[in-house]
Amino acid sequence: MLLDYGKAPFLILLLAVATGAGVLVTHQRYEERRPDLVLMTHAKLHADVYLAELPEFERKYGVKVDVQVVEQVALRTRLLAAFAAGTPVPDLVEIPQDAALFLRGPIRDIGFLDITKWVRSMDLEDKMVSTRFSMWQSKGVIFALPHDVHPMMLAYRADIVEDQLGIDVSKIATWDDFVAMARRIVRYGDDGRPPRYALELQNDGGYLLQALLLQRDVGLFDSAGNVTFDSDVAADTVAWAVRQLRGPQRIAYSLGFGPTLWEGMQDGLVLFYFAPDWRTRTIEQFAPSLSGKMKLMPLPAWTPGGRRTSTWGATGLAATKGGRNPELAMKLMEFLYVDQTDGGKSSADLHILSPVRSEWSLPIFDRPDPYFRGQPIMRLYSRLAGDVPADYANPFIAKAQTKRDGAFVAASAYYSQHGEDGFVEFVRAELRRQADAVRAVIARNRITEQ
Amino acid sequence: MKADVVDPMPPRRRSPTPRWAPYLFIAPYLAVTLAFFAYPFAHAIELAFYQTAGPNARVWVGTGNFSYILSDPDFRTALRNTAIFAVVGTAVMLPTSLGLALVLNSGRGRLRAWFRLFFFSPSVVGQIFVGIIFAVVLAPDYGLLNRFLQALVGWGLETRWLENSATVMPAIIITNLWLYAGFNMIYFLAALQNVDPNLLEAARIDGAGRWSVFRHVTLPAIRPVAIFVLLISTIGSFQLFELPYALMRSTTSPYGPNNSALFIVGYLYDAAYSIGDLGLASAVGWVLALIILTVSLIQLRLTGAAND
Repeated sequence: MLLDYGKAPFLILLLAVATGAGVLVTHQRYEERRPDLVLMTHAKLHADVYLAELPEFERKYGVKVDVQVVEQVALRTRLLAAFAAGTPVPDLVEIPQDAALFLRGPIRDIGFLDITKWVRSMDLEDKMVSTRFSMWQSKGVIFALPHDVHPMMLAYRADIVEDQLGIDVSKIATWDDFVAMARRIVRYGDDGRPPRYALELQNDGGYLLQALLLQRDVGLFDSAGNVTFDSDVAADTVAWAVRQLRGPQRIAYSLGFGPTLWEGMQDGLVLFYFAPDWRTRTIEQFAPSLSGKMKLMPLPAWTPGGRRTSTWGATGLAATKGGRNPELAMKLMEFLYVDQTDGGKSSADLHILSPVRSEWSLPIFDRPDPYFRGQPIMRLYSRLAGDVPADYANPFIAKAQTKRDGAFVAASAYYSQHGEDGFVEFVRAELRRQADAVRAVIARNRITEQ
Repeated sequence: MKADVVDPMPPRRRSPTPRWAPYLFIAPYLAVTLAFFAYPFAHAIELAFYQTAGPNARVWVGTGNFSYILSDPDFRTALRNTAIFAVVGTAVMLPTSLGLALVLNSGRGRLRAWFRLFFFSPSVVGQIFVGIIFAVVLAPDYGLLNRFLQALVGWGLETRWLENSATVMPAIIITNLWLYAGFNMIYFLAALQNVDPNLLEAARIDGAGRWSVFRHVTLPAIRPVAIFVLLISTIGSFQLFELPYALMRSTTSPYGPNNSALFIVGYLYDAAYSIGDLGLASAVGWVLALIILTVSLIQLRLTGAAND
């Protein structure tokens, strides 16, 4: 009788019923076979390490753990949607630094478990680099365990800087020293020879400007959530960076991320680049021809005796409130992030320094790296790790980054047009204007933050 | 003469169709529409009047979201960028697509099929892929375009298409043109192939030149399709998001220097997934819907399609 309407509608109906049933059955089967814990990460490299380590955990507790890799932006949007809709979420999630968005709203509504007591009961703020907890806190409550420290150094073409030009980088203690040294390196291509610059900086500010600011303890926000990127120190740093990129005696050049940076380093277009620990692995991977030609040095300080490092990037591991087995999730968190089950091998292989201080004394960290002329690079990073500046989490971090970089771009345009005339005053005013715009957004949202 | 009369077949005996049968057929469609369109639609109306933070916290703000959007300089930037993209992008897209279609329509044989495939293929790969590819093509010093310019005219190697707020928009428009010109060309080609050849021949016999034939015969014949392409291009322009987002990911900000690549949907995405205010994002969605509706109605009125 249903065929009275023709075969096509009947087939469509059958198809709809079949697919609906298929979805239900698949979901049911997944729920039946669902592992005891699901860990979601945005980094495939991390997942590979965990997959190698997890069998031991699974044997120890007699459980099954599933590791899922989801692209960073997709992870953020899906997780936010899942929290809002109350749909199933993974037990543990590795979240990148820009995911401070999840820390919005009243503490009771945040989708992650409050692990403050657990962290303090295990004394982890002392055992790990304490400043790294700043990125996963809201109103004094800790929601994630830091995965890394990401201390920053300068990586440079030793074959040119030392062998050809005879520069002794150990004598470079401050950024003033660096700029003076850079004058010997830089050529603008007007003498028929290819251009060459000393330092890679981004034209639009970005993470490198942020690293320079953090080195001077200027974050986007302070620990109380106040906008801080319009201070005098911030204006001074922005002005310095603009001069190095746009000034008549510029020493810096923007190559951007990824392939263009590695091409530029191989061609000798730029000789120094900002290298947090993870970026040493990237260059080894993408510029193999530079093996044995590169070396690392600490960042020059802003003042004699000042901080010789900064940081770029962060990942944290959080347990979700919607997870099925919070206790087991905490055990896995401890196993992966705190216990040194592999003798530091994963840290050394990934070139990602763990924030667990005791790991730094492991012998594997003295392993020489032939790419960097035999320097024990993880040892060099670990020496700086304790001095890495704090960078405070804030739900409005993306907005603040955009605004601060907007000020940088405006300052660059002003400098190109007017030079030093009124430049510093303009930078101050522009930073204040952009910071006020962020303050206005925060003020508007204050009501839902309580 | 009496026509042969064929006795109709005796009606087959059928069991009566139950009254609920039609509802059964439309039930899957209704279920999907209710779940994935009607409910979100209604919920978005409600949300637009709230400010939200996190999964549960929300506060009634009345029309506060709308007044905030209209007073926010970033929204005005997004609106301006979107309008420029819609006007310039469409103004470039339509003649290009039509031109390609005319060239292909005049060609013969196998080459035409190959060229059709060649021009159409970019639209198959999608905006994200094209955005990523063009980020590499437009890269300074090592990008394909700059290397080409340098080799051709001895200039352009260091040009920073995506880092300069003056060149970001042209870069996006050109990328979008590369992506969709072939797609729109197919519509025009189909329309051109349906123009009555008798009309074309009659015009030529009457002494009309090529331009006159095109102006007075071809163009009126393909007018409905041209209006359709104009409408979908404009609506697509106002919904632009993935292409600039993927293109600008190679730089620091997905919205470009000085927000030069911030479009209305980017602003909406930012409100939802950067600030985390789904209420504000819903309000932006409604403002966008209103803008698209208004622009579409104006276009229909101006082109006379509303009277057809």
